[in-house]
Amino acid sequence: MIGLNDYLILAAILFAIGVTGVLTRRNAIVIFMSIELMLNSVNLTFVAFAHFMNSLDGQIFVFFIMTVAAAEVAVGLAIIISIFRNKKTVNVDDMNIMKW
Amino acid sequence: MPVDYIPILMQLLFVIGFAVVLVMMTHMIGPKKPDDVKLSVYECGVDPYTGVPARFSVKFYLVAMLFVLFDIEAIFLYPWAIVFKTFVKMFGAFIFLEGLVFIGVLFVGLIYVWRRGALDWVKD
Amino acid sequence: MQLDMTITSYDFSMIWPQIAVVVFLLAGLLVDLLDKRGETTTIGIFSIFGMIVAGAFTIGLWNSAATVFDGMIIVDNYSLVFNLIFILGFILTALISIRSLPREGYNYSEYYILLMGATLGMMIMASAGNLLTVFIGIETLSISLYVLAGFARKREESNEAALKYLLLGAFSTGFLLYGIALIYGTTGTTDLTGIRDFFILSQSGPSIVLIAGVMLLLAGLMFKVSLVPFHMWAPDLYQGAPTPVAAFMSTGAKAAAFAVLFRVLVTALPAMIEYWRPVLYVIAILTMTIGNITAISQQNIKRMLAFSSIAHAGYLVIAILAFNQLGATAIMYYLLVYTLMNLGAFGVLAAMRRKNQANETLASFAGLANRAPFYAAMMAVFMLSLAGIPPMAGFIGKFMIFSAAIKEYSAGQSDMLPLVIIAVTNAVVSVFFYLRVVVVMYMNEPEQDLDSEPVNLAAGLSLIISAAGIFFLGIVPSYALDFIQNAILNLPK
Repeated sequence: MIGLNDYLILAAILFAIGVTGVLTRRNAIVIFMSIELMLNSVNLTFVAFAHFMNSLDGQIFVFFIMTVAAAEVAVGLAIIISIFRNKKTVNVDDMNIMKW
Repeated sequence: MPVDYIPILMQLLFVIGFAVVLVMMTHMIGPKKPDDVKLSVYECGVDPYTGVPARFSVKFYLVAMLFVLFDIEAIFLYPWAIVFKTFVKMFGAFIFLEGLVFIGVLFVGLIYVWRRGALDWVKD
Repeated sequence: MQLDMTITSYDFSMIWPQIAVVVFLLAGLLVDLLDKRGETTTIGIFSIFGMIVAGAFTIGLWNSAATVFDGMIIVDNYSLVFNLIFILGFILTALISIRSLPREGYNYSEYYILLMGATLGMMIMASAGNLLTVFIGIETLSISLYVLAGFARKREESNEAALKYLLLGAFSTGFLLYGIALIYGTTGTTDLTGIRDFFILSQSGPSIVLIAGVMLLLAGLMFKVSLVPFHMWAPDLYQGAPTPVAAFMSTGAKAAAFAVLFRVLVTALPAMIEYWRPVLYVIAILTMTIGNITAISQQNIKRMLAFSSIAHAGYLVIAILAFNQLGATAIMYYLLVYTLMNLGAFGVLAAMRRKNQANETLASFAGLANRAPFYAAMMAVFMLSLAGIPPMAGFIGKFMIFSAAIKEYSAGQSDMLPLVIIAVTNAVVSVFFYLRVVVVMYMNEPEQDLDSEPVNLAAGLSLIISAAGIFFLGIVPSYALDFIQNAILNLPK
């Protein structure tokens, strides 16, 4: 039987993979995908808690995270496209007009 | 209980069956006019000189993104639909109006996108 | 299914300010379609009118204390004061922008719509009663700001600022949400008062998972406030974003993030004070010191203002650490004053900008007193107020924060004294780089011959409102303080 802890550990691993991806990758799109992985691991945590506590709050929270993530992606891709048009690159190491 | 999943299994079978029937039907009743070119084995004409797939036009991105946005907003209609009956008993037409307001806000967004020309596939 | 909630028209009557903003936002979007492209002043004035309506509703709700929508929204004078700060920030920003948008070549009226969306997010944040509404408010604000930061989409700096802000902002949202998820898992609720009740009812101390959740949540919030070590995005963002947007982000967005941080600590986590207090204590010292020291070496005034805004956030954390009524009053008063003076300083920068010249370096301010006496005088007022020199309101704000800390020191919190000493030292250091701007404007000769700056009506109005507010709040602070002190009475504590 798969218990609450299994879900939480899986979510924690996914979250860690996402964080590692953000910190090590240099392509803006891949960084963005890693952030999405972080958000989805949070979703998994919420759903697991909600299921095992018999509470609906967590599931509603997931709905909001999903919609917000979609909006964030729409805006994010638009920004990345406008950068690509100006600079012909999406590598974050090339974003250095102002020092980090 | 495994028994609870029988409706899902039935839906799965129905979906697969539906797809198979459609493909078979086009195969059987579609017009067939074979000629030399169509029957020849497909081969590339020119050696590929760009390694990566060609870039998509940004139009695809825009339409896809708008679809995702409007599509995902619809998930709020599921919880709304689930509590609809209970709420109608408790508050009357209020919940219906609330749903209308939600869709109305989305509709304003749609009008905006449409009038700004983001839905025109080919710009004049 | 169990449904024990009730929603009545009373619930809706409590969020009229937010509803007004939404209605004007949607109407603005539709009205904009009627006009031809490139005409933004109409929408700008329309949005200012909408915000005034929202402000009138806010004042109409004064002294109401209500928790509505099943605990999702808390309406009290604390949230109403913040609503007014945001509305003020919006109006001043919009006034600066009316002239600045066409000149800079990003003349799209979506600018004002997005600005209204950001303000809506701030209002939701200030009255959030549940971690869900906290999240929705933060994201409504952030997503609008991501677009606004990159609004000058032909300028590479603006693109870059938007991308950095977006990636780091979304990254921090991940931590914030993971923290909320862990808090939800251990306490069983996301309601702020529900979390407080959990601590009251629980026999043992908080579990490790809960502590981790709270720390992740606080890290996410601290990122939004730009406290050291989560501040690295702020200077680049303020420098690269269009100047009016930077003005709005450094004031309204920061005030909203503080509103939420303080609300969460006071309402949900007073029982965990022994865990978050040491963390915030160290962060307060780091934020003040690093912000001020880095500001000294900046030659670009926009970047200097960014570091100075980080330092000001550090002072505000002292008021949080004091955790008393005086501290809460100080936070609201300081943020009100800070909104006026920082928006004013950025407003001068925006007015100085020409299409091909940034005019943001210290050198380009040389001799401004001769070229543009009005802007120079205004800038001097804002710089002196930021430095905390009486009779400007910035002085009263710092004074209140320090007295809140000293009050706790006399009540037995011995570690407050070193904190205040460090803060005062920092305030003295900061006088140097604020006064330097004034000295350069009034004493130095201009290096190159720049054309004189014509004063523009809307921007001038915005600056005069800010300066008048600074003098009014600085010379007769009691009016505003009486109001704000009323606000605290209803703050649950």
